Amino acid sequence: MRTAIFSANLDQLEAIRDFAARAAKDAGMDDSAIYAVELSMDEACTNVIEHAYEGKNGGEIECTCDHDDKKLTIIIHDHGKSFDPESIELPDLDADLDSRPVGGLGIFLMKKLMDEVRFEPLGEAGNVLTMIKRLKINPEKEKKTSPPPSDWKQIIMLGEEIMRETSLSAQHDLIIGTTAHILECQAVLWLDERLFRLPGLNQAPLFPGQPPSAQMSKAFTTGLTSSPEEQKKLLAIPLKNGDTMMGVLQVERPNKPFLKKEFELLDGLAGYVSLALVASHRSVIEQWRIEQLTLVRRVSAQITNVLDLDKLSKRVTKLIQRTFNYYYVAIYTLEPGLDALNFRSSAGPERGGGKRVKARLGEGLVGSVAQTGEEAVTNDVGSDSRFKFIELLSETRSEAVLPLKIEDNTLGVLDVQSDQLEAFHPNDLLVLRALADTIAIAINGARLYGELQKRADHLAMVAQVSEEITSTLDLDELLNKVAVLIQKHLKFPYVHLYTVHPIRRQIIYEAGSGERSSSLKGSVIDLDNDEGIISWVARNGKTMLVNDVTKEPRYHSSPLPPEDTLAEMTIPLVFDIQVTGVLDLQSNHLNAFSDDDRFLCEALADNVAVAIHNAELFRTEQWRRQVADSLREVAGLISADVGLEDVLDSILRELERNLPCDVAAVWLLDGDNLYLAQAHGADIMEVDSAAHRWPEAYAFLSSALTSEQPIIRKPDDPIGPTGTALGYSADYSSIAAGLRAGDRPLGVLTLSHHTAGRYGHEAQAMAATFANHAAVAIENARLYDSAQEQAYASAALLQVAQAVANSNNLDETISGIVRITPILVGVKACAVYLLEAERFHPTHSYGFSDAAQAILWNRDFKHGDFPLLDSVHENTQMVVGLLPSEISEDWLDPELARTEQETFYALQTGDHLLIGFPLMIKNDLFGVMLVEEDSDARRFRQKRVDIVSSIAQQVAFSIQNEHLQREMVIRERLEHEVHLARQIQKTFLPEHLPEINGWNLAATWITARQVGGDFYDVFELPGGRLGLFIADVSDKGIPAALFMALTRTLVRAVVFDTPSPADALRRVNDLIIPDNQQDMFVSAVYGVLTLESGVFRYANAGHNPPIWLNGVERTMELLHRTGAALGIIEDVPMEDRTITLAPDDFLLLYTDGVTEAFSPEDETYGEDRLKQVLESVEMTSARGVLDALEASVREFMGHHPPDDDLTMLGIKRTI
Amino acid sequence: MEITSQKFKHCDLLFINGKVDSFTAPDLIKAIEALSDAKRYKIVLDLSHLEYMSSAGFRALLLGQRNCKRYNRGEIVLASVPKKVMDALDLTGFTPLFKIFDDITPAVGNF
Repeated sequence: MRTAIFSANLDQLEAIRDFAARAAKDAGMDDSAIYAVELSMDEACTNVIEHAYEGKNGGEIECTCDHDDKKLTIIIHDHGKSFDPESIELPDLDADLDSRPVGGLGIFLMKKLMDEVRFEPLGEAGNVLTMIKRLKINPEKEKKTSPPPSDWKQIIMLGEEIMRETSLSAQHDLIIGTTAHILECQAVLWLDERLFRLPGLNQAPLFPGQPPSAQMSKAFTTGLTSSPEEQKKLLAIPLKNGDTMMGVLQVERPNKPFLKKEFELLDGLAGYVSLALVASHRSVIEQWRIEQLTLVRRVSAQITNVLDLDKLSKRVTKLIQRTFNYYYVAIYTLEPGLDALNFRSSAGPERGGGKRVKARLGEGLVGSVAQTGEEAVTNDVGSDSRFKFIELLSETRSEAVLPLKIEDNTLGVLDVQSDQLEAFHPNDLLVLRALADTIAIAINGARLYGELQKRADHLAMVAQVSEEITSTLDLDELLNKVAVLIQKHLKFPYVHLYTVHPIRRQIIYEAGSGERSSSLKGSVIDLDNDEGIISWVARNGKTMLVNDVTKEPRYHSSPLPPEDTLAEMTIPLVFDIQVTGVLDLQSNHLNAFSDDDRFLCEALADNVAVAIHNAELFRTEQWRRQVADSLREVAGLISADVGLEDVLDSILRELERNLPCDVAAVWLLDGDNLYLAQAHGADIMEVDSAAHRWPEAYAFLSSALTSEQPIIRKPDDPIGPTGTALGYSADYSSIAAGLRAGDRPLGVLTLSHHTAGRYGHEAQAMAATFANHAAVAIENARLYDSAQEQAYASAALLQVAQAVANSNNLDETISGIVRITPILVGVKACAVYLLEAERFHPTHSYGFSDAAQAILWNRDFKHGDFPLLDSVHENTQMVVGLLPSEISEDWLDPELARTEQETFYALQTGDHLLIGFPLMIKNDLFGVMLVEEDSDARRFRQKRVDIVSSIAQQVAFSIQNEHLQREMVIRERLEHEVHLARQIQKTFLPEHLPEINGWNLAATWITARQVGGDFYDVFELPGGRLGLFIADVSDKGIPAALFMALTRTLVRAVVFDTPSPADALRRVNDLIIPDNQQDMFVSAVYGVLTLESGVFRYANAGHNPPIWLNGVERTMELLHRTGAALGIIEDVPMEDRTITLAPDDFLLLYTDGVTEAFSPEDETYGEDRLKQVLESVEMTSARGVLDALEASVREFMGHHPPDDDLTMLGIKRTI
Repeated sequence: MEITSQKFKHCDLLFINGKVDSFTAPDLIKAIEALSDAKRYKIVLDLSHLEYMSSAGFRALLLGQRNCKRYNRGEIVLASVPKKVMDALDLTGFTPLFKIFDDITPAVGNF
């Protein structure tokens, strides 16, 4: 029987089930019965926890299990709420999903799984649940009766338990424990641990190397049970598996010798234990093997998909290192022809992992394995002479290096190191070998793939380069492309292309990519130079491949940095036996060029040579077409929308392409004068001024204007402008063709060449044709330009408009416009004066010289100070002033153009102008925009003036806008202020009046358009008293509202300190005065009403007297002032007065808004009217009285809105 | 008990490892709810490593199945149900409420 107590918590269920399972097992149940018991126990206890204890902590469940050979009985005892599982309805097992109940399953299961389920509520003593499961009768088991079943059963179970445990120490404990239990003795177990060692696990030994006692040694060596002869108190029983001795079990029972029956039992136990240990070890080994195989499989799986060698190595080393827990694992590969191994990847638990380790063939274990292809395993690196110590891997104690081989070919090595001695069990090596083979296959695969890939890439590249270059017919472009493409694909740092000129005996650098190429530009190599690889290749037409230039006598180093060439490959470009060029590749690595590269580049070179040949053929063919194309090009300009400058440029460009010339120029007529509009090959200013300085030169040009045919200069003709400007010798060549649109001459086209006799009839005809086309294009472009100018003006105005729209205030707008006007329009400077109070006030200026700035900008100008501004003011139109000199002081008095004609004249001829533009809307002048016009920009002056006028108009609009806006803002601010003040005021009025038994209160507050400073307050005070307050601040608007807020706060603060209203008001007065900076004052009445007695004690600080109405007799008394208004003088004199309000009496407090309300006839309402209403009004409620008063006042005012706030507070005593 | 979930194109797989009793069942409910909250109602429960399941686990399955089957939007199917658990399911009449597959592949393929 076993009993256990569990805390009633769901997390105990597992322990509870285990407890029941053990009991079931003890009872000899099979697995499914055990499961049934576990399940029933679980369900029963879940119910106890959830229902009996209602999920609360702290309860306990006592479980008892007992079995005999027929049944297992489980008793569950708890102290929770009485709970009858019978009361739970059993679930309908056929119901469909939705109608299936969620509960009740547990009980159902218990009943189904157990043979009996009984529930007994014991009241105070809790609940007891008894479950019984009958045992299946096993006829075989019944027979086995000797030896005593319980002992044998325990032995059998021991065997099973040993199998279940995986560690030797746990197995040891089990054996000792069970043996001691069965025989009631002391037991010692010794095992030959070597037999149980697991590969790859390096645990500290559990057992000593030899049996610990003499008896045990004897038993171990003889294989027979050993005992000291005389007594059977100590026995040593050998544990063996077949003929192999595994260990010894020693038992000792000093008080009682072992019986013969127990000898048998011990023999049986030893047999079982041996068997179990062997079986267990086998299964562990099996498990281990499976793990290793899994690893190999995993490695293979990982590898098959990785074609990148480095990635592959990284994964494999990591996987091996992690799985076997080795100190360090690395992979090297072997490259043919190299004597150093290629480190691929490593993995280690610490810093060694990942670091590159060098290894050379034949050096160290790794090197020697790589060389011999034979596996090397060293169980103690200290004793192996091949081992090479590496600082990085100082912990290494044993090492295994496996070759990665495909057939007889060593591709690399797998290096595995351990920080343990003798770490490599034969089993480990088997696995490692399998891994090595797999890795080798993968490396081979990756290599093959890599080569395949490389070849495919190369083919693709040749195809691509060929395609690109054959479509390029321009030689320079072609060579550049080749250089770039080769570098891009082959990644050699220096790629250069040369052309070979056999007649000139020169090799000329043409194109390249890489750091040197820019400095090589223009370099020439002598073809007959005996030294140097390039010239050799150019002469011999054979490729040279030098993988180490230091060993090549022909190589001499490049004079250009970087001086790091270590390998060079030079390939001739051969077409039809002729070497037309050289492709030169250099690298800063030794052995940079493989045979593959050579074949590839030779293939490329052939293609390049063909392409070069094609390009050259094309070049000669091309010239003939070019002339025709150029003409077409110029003709095309006629219809294209391009500006004059572009047209001239194109004309000259086309001309240069077709006729040999140093200088090409277009001269255009401006009025009667020719000026140089565009020139290629010479400085425009120089040539132009030469033409104007030398009449003969100019005459030469003019003659071409009218000549039918282009004029070819003869050596003895006068020297033309180009010749003069550039200092040509007298016999230089020149041709001049007139440009005509219809009969109207436009200008002259000239070509010049410094040598004699360049131009003949062909040139003359071509120049004439060009001139015809060019003239039309120029005419067209001029038209376009003028349209363009219109567009430009609109764009400028748009810019200005944008600036206006984007700025927030006038100042910003003006500043912006003043700045952009010179830039947009091209005037020299700009400024704006605003007219304020008959003075011109400078706002912003831009572009004036410092001196002018000082004169124009240091002050306001009143009438007479600056006649130009006055003139604009008087005439309200643009006024132009001619600036007579550079003396800035004179600027204030320029000669003004007084009439329209004078203005026109001034704009036509005036060099330096100051122009004033009125800033004006209708007839309102806001100011003047002043502009300085410079002589340099005379040609479009009228246009600019027009644009500036428009800008001035914009400015005027902005100013007007600003003015309008300013007014609007003021209005808005006022409205906002009123609103705000009203808000403040409202906040301080009581939301509700208190409802008091025996008293009836009402208040009326009518607001005026402007905010007055009225307010009232009603508050309950301790001792059954009520405070009544009404006040009027002398000012209006926000200041009044704030002052009112202050007063109200102070009143509320002081009323609790004193029973005397006069005292309270005096204090408020003293507190207000320091804050009162605006000379405001407050008139107020404050009274305290004792509700019980009706006694009203009050003080009146300069306020309209409240009216006390005797309800019965209808007599009235005014509560006159008892002191001065608050906020005027310190220590204001103030007195209290007291009246007593009888039942039906009524008290009215009000502000002057009532008595000073105006009628349409400007009469005031007055106190008398107030009294009249009060005399006759029906005194039912305070509300009724106030409403009657309000109606009366409103009637009096007619449609006139109240000027002031109108406030009334009434209180009536009802009992 | 441990639950891991795996998302397939047409359904989700919940792999339940260990024992489901009243103590651990809430986690199972949560796992199923997490899926249905994500609007995933087609669920395969891989019970190959389920060691034990009490009625609390059955309740979780029932609640989950009801929710998933609503509006025909999906269902929970069971795969690789251990014999002992299967027996208990059968006993409680739960087997008709679930499609039960011998292996995960056909269970996933069912959707």
